[in-house]
Amino acid sequence: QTGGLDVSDLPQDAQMLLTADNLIYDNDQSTITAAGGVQIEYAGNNLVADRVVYDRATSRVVARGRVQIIEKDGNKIYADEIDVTDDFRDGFVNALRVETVDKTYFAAESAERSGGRLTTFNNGVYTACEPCRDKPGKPPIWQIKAQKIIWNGESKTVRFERSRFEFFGMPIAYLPYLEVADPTVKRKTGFLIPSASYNDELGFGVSVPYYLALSPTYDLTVTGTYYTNQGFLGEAEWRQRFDNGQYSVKIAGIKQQDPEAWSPNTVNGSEDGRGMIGSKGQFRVNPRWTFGWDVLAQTDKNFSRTYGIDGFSDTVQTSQLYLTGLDDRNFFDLRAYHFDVQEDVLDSSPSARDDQQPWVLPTFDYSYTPDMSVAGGELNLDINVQNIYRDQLSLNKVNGINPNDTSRIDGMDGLASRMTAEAEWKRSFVTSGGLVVTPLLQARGDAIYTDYDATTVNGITSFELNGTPVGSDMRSSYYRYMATAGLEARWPILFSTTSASHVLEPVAQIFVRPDAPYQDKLGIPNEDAQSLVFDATTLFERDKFSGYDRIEGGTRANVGIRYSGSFANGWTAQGLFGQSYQIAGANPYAAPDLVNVGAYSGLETDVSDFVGMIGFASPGGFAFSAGARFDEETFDVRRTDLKTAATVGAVTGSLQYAYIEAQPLYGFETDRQEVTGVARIKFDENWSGFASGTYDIESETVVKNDYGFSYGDECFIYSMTYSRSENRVTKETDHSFGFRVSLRTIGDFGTSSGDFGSSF
Amino acid sequence: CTVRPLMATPDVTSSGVASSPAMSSIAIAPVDTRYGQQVRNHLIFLLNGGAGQPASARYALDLKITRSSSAAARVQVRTDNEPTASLLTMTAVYKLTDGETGKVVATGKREISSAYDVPRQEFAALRAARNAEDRAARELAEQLRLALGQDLARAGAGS
Amino acid sequence: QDSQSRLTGLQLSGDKPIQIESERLEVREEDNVAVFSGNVSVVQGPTLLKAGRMKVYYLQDGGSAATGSANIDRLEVDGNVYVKSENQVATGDSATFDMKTEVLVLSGKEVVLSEGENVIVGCRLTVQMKNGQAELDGCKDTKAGGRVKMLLTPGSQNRQ
Repeated sequence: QTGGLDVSDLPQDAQMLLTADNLIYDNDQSTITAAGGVQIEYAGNNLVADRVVYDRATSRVVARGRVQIIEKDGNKIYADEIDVTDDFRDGFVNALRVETVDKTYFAAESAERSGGRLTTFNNGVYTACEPCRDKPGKPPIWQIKAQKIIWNGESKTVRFERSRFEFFGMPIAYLPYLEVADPTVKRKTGFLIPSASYNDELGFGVSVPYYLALSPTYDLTVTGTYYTNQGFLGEAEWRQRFDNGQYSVKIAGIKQQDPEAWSPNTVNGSEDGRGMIGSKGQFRVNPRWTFGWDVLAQTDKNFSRTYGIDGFSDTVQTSQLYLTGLDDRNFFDLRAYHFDVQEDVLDSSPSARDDQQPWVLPTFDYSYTPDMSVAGGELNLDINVQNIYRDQLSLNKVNGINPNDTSRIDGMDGLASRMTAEAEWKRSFVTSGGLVVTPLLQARGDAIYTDYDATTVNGITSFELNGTPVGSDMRSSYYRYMATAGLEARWPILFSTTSASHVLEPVAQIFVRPDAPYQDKLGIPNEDAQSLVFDATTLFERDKFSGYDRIEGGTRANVGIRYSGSFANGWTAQGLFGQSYQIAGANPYAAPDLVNVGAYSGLETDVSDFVGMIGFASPGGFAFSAGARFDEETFDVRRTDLKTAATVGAVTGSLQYAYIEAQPLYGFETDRQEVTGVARIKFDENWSGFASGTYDIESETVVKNDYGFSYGDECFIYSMTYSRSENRVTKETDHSFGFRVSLRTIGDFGTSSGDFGSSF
Repeated sequence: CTVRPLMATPDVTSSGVASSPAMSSIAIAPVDTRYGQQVRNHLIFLLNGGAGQPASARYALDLKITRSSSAAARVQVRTDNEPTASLLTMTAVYKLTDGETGKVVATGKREISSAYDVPRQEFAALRAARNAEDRAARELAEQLRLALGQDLARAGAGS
Repeated sequence: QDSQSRLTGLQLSGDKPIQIESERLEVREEDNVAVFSGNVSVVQGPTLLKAGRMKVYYLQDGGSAATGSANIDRLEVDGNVYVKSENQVATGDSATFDMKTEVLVLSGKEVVLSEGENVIVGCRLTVQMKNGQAELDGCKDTKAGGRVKMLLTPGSQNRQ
């Protein structure tokens, strides 16, 4: 529909209803004069005025005195006098204001409307800001004053001629000609707002996007960007939507004019013709199943990140193809991965990571829990298939007692696949005294096939731990099993007073198992169990490894006590403390591992470290939680994670502290200790500010801090961001500054990094 | 203050408060994420001891599970400030409604954090995060069970 | 139909013959009044007026009401007045018509004037017979709050 009085498509037999205090029907001049609160309703358009003269001969309707027209599409027009044809198609208006259904406002000394389509405002003003109720004279934040504003219902555009842009009433830009889409239109072909950017190597860049709304379900956006140093970058994105999903395809390419802008031995510096093609898609087959993809292929590993290709510019761009199903208690996920680490160092450099990332074709997880109980207990069936291919060995020497005499292979070169099936049965019995006893049975079988490249075989056979060779058992296939008989006992005790209630739940678990096969010699790859953090949530896990590649064997007991408190005033508290004991068999966390995963984990000693956590939260938004691991003899803190968040008045803040003692064999020679603070302040309904900082205590550098503030109301958003990061080793800092101005219905300008919403 | 085993059967307790049978008569509404399902599966076992979901339950439990992970430590092993250790926080907001009276018996929120390292191998990093979700979900289910027990005890003592 | 659907108006002019019929007629010479009652119908050319009762007041200039030769001063009609002219129909509770000023006043709880599909509803319709101007006022007392309603087909539609 169009702006202004559009009645062209009226039903032919529409009748006009006119009510008034008094009506004069002059037959000779054939005019009808209505006076006193005149209301006219005609095909959905309503007109209200003090006096209306309707000349039936010329079929003109002249309304005077507080005239207000509400069109069928909701636009409201206020004027002193209106002269319009009786089908509202043509006419002119003096001293009018228009308020469209999308809350945009026109005002003008006069306006003409012709053919029911074209409304021309003379000496008009356009803004999307609400007029200030109590101070009507006060200029809105922004407005566009123009000698002529043409609102074309046919082409659905609003054109300003000889206009000037005013900000808080001060003219700041003179625009001889500006055309924007009609505010009531949702999609329209045309130029989008250009954006600017600056970067040392790329130079100053201006990008102009052109949008083609080809159909309500698919569109194409073509963007041209010219960089002063590197030349012209072309981008095109096709998007299509269906009723059960959507997909998009994006291509981009450039012929770099000045690769020397980057330092010589970098990826960016050694390329000239560069490009990418990427696609994302997601479809919901039915309420339980979805499949989708997010794939990227590019000429070199750092193109999309360097040129900020939207949607493909992450530091680690994970390409994947997946089919996922989830219902009630069962889960199915079949997924293929490829990882593109968009780093600028060449593959030959030691710190390069990209070429050592695997192809995962596929990883498959299926977990099934039958609804019916089996022998009175719950049966869980889990299947995992993992098929990894890598064409570059990732081996490095880490310093143990003396440097370079401990190896670490976190990525074998060649092919390795594993199929695992695991079943677990458990049932709880509650005695009359409230003791909960849970017997558990578990069985698992793995089939592992390896086809290593010679360098990997050599790396494994010559693997050293603190200078002593570890020994390997290289086979092309391994078959291993695990069977567990477990028992868990808990006795939760409830202490309740009138104002609070506390539960203390002592828990003891024992798992009797054989040792995990092939655990004392290297050979089986470790791809999905490379991380091991022993904390309160790991204590009562039956298998504390984080993946299927390693199995926890031997007889182990976990003992601890869990606390939960809830108070009448809404506060809640929780806690847990405990320890784990390797009672019989070999301690799997002391066993050799290609990534030394057990080293310094706290589980490598038969009597493990102590682990604990406490947490409390108030209904008012304050929360504190702390987790820690203490040495079993000296009670020194080996690792701790603190986190607190609070809302005090207009300020919401959060603080996070982490301390992790050095784990050299595991890849971290020094302690890691950092604190991060975030504060968000809402000054008033429109103004808000943001500040965040990360301070590395070990190297006493503020690694990263960001500040930002933003003003936002119904028609205008301004945000400014400043972020600074410093490398803790080289102390070299770099700053980035962003701003974003957004005028509702006109467009937004500024750098993407300045987008307040996304970065905070 | 009264002290008694949380899971004791009615005839034993002095205050005559029956909570364990009530605990096993809670139907949990389905959730739509993997980690949310982990919390729900564990909670179903903890409440029913393996007997599966109750056919006609007196109480209805509505669970909203969300998770967020934040970098705990970045170390210069990587030049581009990638995290090397992260903290995954899983939050459950629950509402327990009495099916017979339609009244809300209790609402509450519990949060559990589990730490994980972020290896240089991206696939291992994804599986580490997934494992952290599973651990946090199991421990969160444990806390929810105790919380529900306390809520029912307070409601039971109250009515 | 010519370009303007002119309202030929309720032309009850004084100089054309008027034919009046009614069930009863009572003449009161001394008051110069003739009272027609019972299904009164008055026809003059294309205009027809029907009502329950009509009182005709004659001028004092000597003519006698009985013979109809006297000049009519004014008419008072009541009891469901129905006036029809060429293409207009007006209804109301009562009406008065003053021959000298040629002003017809139709009033009542709901006075309706319709012409084709155009309908006007109000409480007091004052028609100037000389220039065909009709003024309709709302009823001050009724709940309609003295509002006049008019439903008409915009002229421009017929012209397309």
